Amino acid sequence: MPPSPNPLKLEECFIKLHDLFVMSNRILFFLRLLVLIQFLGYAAKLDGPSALNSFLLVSMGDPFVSIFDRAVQVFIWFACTALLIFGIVNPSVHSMARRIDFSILGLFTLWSFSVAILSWIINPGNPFHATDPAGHAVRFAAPLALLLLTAFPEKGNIRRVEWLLRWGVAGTFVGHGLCALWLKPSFVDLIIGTMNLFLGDPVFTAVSFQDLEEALTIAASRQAFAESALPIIAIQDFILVALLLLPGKRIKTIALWMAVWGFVTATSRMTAYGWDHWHDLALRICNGGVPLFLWAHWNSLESKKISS
Amino acid sequence: MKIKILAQFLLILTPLVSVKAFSETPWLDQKYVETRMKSLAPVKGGGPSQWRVIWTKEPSTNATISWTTAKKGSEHKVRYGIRSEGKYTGGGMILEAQRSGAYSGAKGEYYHHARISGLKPSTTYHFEVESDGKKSPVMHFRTAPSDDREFRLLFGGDSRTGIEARAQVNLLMADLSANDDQLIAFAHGGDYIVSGRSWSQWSTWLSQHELTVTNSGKVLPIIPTRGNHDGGPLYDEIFDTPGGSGKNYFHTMISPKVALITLNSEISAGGDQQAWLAKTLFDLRPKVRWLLAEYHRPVWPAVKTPGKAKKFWVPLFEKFNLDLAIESDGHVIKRTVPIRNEKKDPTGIVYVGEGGLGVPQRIPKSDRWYLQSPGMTGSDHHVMRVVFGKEKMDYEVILLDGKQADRYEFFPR
Repeated sequence: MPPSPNPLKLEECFIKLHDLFVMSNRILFFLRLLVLIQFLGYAAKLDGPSALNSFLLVSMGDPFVSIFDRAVQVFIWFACTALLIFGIVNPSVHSMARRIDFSILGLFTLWSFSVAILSWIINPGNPFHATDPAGHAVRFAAPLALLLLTAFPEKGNIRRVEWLLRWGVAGTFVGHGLCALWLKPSFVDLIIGTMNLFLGDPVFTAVSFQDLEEALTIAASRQAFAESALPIIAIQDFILVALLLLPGKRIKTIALWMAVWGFVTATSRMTAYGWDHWHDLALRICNGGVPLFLWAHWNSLESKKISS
Repeated sequence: MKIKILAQFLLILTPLVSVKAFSETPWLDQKYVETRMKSLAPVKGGGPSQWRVIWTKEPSTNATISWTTAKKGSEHKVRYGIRSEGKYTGGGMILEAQRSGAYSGAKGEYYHHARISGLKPSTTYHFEVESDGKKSPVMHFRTAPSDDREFRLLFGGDSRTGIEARAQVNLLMADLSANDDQLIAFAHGGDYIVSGRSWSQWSTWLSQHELTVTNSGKVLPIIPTRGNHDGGPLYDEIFDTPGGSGKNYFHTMISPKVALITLNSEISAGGDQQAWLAKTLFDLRPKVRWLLAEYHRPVWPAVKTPGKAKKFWVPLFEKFNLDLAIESDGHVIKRTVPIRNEKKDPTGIVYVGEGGLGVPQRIPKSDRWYLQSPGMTGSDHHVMRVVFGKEKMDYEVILLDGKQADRYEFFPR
């Protein structure tokens, strides 16, 4: 007579199987932090007019659009605090607190999506702004993913959300890749400004006409370097996207490299333009953060598979 | 019966009151603006329209006269010269347009540029453009001085939306120009239209630019700056590629003692442009009394966040003691306190402008430290007028109704 299975071991197996598909709270909390930091960036950016403000200015006029921006800014500050608290307390799915959490994430998704679309609409004919709906994809994919993962943490949903994030990262890299390929002026300045920070700005240190002549040569060489590096960066971005979207594949190295590259390019806003541009880094935290999230998720899946 | 008489009396009185109220500022009357807009030269047939005079580098001896035709045509020329008693001295000079071509995205409209050189400084030149035998009215402009005499310039930006308001500001400029022989040019700070690639929007702007021409035919030469809404090839086709293709930055020696540096905030601010700026400031500062810079995106904004050029340009402005920086883009009126090293400093640089040539106005963020008194902010359609004198430079902001919204005096450094 075959031995009957030990009920305790069977339960452990089920738990491990469940863990394999349900995302760990720590990883989810990391995604929550990314969304939170990103929206602190959005709030700081609202010191100037938003894309919605510019879109509505003609029809609604000021002060309506300014008041609207200010209201959104205040809402984001409160909502970020609430997101942090809900992340720590982790209320149940059917509680009022969680419903508020979902509403905030829904509104955050809507805001980041609207900004991306309107940024394109209010700048008609501008090829760089035309890439914004793709370039900002990870910004609206992140809060939507967090909402879906928290509300529906089932196995099949996690896979779908993973693809949502993959497409979000892909959109952002394609958008930025196109801007790099077309030599977006602010990208050229990111490279020149960062070089000036680490190698010194010859224009500012010049005191004589001869110094200025030398500075001109150095400045020209830095501009030439930036303009020749950007198309290579663009190609890199496109290759990374292709590898990230390979069906049935989860290449962790690619996700990790995209994370590093995403953080480097986001940080370059500060290295090029000054540390007071922290909000530009905060706004782009998901550019590197979401690939890192995917890497962590894939890593945890792998380790769970091995342990089970 | 009494009411009927009273109503009739009011009906007669209303136009009289409105004529009186708008007699000095007729552009405030919507009907007047509509009538003037209907009288603009149409872009049709082979005849010239949308005429303009462009200044870039040496306006005391050079100017570009540009116009539009609805057809390619075969002969496009400008007759110009000094006139007395209604006739050109010596019959005038005739110059064929050196550059003609189809406007990008247009339906067969063509641009023509005649680059005139060898002009006499501080001289009124009359001109008429001619395309395939059809002539424009005779107009005139005054070349920039080659001596240290006093003169005035108008500045302004953001005419991109608010077509009627744009027409009103243009009529205001024509009025200021008509009454002032010393007013010689107008520097536009960019964002002429919403979409730089839309010919129809540019065409409306160009036609409305005719409203800046006075009744006597005086044209204010335009010194153009590229704004963030002016992307695409049309800007270069309309203004004859000021400062060179892909650059659009240059400096204008308006007189031996006044230089205006026009920068392009829509291309890389660092690298080549920054180095050029350093060299130009180094070269000009010892020579001129009044050194100004104009660019579109503000580095000390009254509404938005600082432009990316701040890191690259501001240390140079401060190092070479720029006298005035003129900015646009925010859709307000502003004048900062003098700024040096991120602080209020009496030796610092004053930044003015932000654009009000027709675009809907915003409410400035007047709580920013650099906009506090003695700085100022406001919100109204406006144009700025600067008087360049030997002892001082007078800056003022003029509103649509002709009232002064701000004034400030600058003294030589």
